[in-house]
Amino acid sequence: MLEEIQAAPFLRERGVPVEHTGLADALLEALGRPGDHPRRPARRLTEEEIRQGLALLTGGGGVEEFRRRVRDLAARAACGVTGAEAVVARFGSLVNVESEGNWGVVSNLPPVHVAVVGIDQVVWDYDEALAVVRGVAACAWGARLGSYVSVVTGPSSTSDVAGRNVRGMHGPGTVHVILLDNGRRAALERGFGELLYCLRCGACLEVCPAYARLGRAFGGPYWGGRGVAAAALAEGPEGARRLGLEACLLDGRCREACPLGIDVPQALAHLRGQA
Amino acid sequence: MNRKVRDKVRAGLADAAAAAGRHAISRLLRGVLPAVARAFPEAAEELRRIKRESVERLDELVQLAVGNLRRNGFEVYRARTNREAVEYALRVIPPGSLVVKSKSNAVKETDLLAALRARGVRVVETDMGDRICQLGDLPAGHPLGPAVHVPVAEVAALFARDTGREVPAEPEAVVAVAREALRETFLSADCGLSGANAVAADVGAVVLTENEGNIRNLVHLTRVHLIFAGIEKIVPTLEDAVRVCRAAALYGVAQPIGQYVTAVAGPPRAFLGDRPADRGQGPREVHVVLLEQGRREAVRRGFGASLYCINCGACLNVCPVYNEIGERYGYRYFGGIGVVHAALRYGLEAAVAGGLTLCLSCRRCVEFCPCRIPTPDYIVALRAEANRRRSLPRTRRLLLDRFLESNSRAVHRTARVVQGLLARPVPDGDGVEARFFSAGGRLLPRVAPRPGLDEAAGAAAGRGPRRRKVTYFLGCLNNRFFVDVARATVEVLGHLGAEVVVARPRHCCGYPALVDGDPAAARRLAQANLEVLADAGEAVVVDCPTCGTALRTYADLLAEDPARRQRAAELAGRVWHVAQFVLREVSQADLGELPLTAVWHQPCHLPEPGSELLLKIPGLKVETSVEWCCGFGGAFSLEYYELARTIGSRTADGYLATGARLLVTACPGCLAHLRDALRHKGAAGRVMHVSEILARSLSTGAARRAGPA
Repeated sequence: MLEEIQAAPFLRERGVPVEHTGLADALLEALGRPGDHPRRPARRLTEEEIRQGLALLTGGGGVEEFRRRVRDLAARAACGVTGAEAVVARFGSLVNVESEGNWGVVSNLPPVHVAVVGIDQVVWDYDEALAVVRGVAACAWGARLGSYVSVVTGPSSTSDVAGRNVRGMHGPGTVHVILLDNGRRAALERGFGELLYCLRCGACLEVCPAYARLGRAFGGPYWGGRGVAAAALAEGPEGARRLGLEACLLDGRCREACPLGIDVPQALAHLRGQA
Repeated sequence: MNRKVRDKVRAGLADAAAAAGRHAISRLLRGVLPAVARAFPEAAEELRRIKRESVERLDELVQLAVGNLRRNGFEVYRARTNREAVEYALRVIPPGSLVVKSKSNAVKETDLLAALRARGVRVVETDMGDRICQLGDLPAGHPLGPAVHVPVAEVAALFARDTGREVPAEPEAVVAVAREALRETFLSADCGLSGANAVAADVGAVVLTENEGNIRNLVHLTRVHLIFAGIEKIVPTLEDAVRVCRAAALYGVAQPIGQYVTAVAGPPRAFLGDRPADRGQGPREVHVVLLEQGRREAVRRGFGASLYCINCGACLNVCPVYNEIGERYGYRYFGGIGVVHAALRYGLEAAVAGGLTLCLSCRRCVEFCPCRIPTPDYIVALRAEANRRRSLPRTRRLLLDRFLESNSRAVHRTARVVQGLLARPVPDGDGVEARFFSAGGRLLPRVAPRPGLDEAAGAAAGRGPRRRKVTYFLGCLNNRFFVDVARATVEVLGHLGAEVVVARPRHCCGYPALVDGDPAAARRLAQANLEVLADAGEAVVVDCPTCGTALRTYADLLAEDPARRQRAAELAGRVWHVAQFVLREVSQADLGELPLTAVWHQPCHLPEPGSELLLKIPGLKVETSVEWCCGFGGAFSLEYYELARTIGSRTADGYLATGARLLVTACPGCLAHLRDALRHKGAAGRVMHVSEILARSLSTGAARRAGPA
């Protein structure tokens, strides 16, 4: 989500220093390489590249040094910015699943937490949110669960001092949730609602011939063929063409691989017609 | 042993500041909890389903959870006893290390903290309330608001001493300083020690909930995380575990869900290349110690529902005894459920020390418990095991067995003579007080000149046969003392057009014997009363809710005698308290106007709120209060009079604060005890039984109808 809105470059342009807390993201940035998978962005790095990246990143301290640095950074930071896997409408909660633990650190140590989520990520109750969590773990990582599932329902608070409710006890005293449309409502209105089922698991990318050839140029920050469709809805035909509207072979392999069976080729065929 | 309990009670009563803090939280929650619980009715239903299933499948779920936890990279240790758990923990936590800790009942259940202290381990509580108690060396007065009773200036001083900084006496300032100080501790801690709200067997995750964020810090910032969890915390699925957390927040602090729910499914891993790197933002090792101490025993001995407890504390908010004396009631776990846990995990001795005799059997805890744990029933069963009544002093036993249980005229006459010798009437004529050894100046009701049974029979005679027959079952207190109430009840039933037959039980209903742990005596009385009520007609009306409760338990008491059990079950369906009976039978037109303001006192054993009935009386304004317990509790008030009076007195304060000066109740025990409370306050106020109010309204109504005709 943060990538979709290009949050890091935007903030940096305005003089706000931004640091990645996910090891893979930080490593890729140190190496000046784009990630090639939305969930495991550094999966194709070789041992040599990892060594090189870690050296650039930590000056030889390795993974342990990176861990220490992230938590010290988070403890000093003014603000933690994250996405989330789901928003529970009935109770007003953010739900996330992760393996690395940096989401938990970033959303708990700084005094302010900003979470950016798509309106397509809003579900009714916790069971649905946990279904998303289980789906992400299974499809993106081939795991039963990550290491942490976090449910956040507002700022940290305590009533332990003389019974008065005070915010910001151990976690943030302020939590902002940005609900992002960016073409999602348009998808629904124009009959492409199925595109909003996407869990961003990356299964489609593994089988996509266009993605194999073009890499991140195909779909850009929206990732792959579904991303091209999303770009069409968010930015119009120009954006879609720029991100490879014509590159899709329409062979339907992604539809077969998608755990939710999203028919991206059909959507792209329609959008080509409309463009 | 009971002397020790009495000492604890005294200490509790002396600690007024802590009691005030507890009452503040309890009152608040008693006020809001019913509405919040009604807003999410499925929460308690689902919790009961989950807990029932979890206890039924205990062994299977333990196996499943252990397997999945290990697969996720947890170190799992199954401790048969708490001692084993402590020994394991001492192997994990090196001597001299720094440990950050979050709230954990399982840890509290063991001697771990003392053992760690002995080995030079520094344990820092990170929940704000617990940290305040730790810095001030104060007992945690309430499980969820352990320090709310401590004035903010005192809290500020504690943190000033701890940090060497100046701390303004403002909650916001104190929180800011504490956040910073504890953050430093988190960042330098070696180990984290926590409990678990639930363990999800299907995914192998430990699930925790909180509001402050200290658990999240603990989970992400420590090198080694040690989790203590009772095996009863294991639930089938992750979804179930989240439901448990929801119920804990809902019933604990009236929040739909806690600010944070965190599921930990093993040490974190960052992915690089196509393999996980060695460590993410969290501990290298996560240990789960599953405590078994006494849990299987609970299931085996028929106390399985005690394992449903999620430690939400809802029961404590409504427990009259807990609210007065706090953590002194219970054993490691607070309140009545703490006494039950103590018996099953550490033996009867521990339960007795924790206050096995302190439960009033008011059952409010059952009503507020999302799992409906029958704690009072468990306590009664344990009292029977402890042979409680047999261990009473001889005189008290005699008093209970002979005086209370018998309805004979000879005993009545004797009681009147003895009371005349030992007690003198108080000036305002509402009762008597002891002449020689004053039981704290307790106002006792006066033994009536003639037994209530005779008075009631006299009032019922001469009304002639009617088309319907109602049997009036008269309890010991109205027989011995409150004969006006007995007469009023007969009059009320007469107004409803019923022929009133006054049953002549030779004995009391058996409830005092039952709750005192003498089921054999209770059974004997149940059998006798079943005979007396053999052809009772369509309804058996009582004016003591406790008698009603007793009559309804006869089927359980006589379960081993199928014929009697059957009859007792039929009887149970026909038992009505006069307030319920009138509410069902009366037509609005029959009720005459009473231009009064009254406050309703709901007796604990009356099944439905009786205020509805009062509201039907024209002209009567009915006030309500969140207070509710008179503190009587039968033998309880003999054994712990000072405590009983404190409870009653607080309730009376709540009633008087409404402005009403007339208290209406439906139970002779409440009547006696509230009168005592009012007298001690020197407060102007009357206490009446609902029968008396109804008799007055119905006769006004009858006169009005007869008048103009």
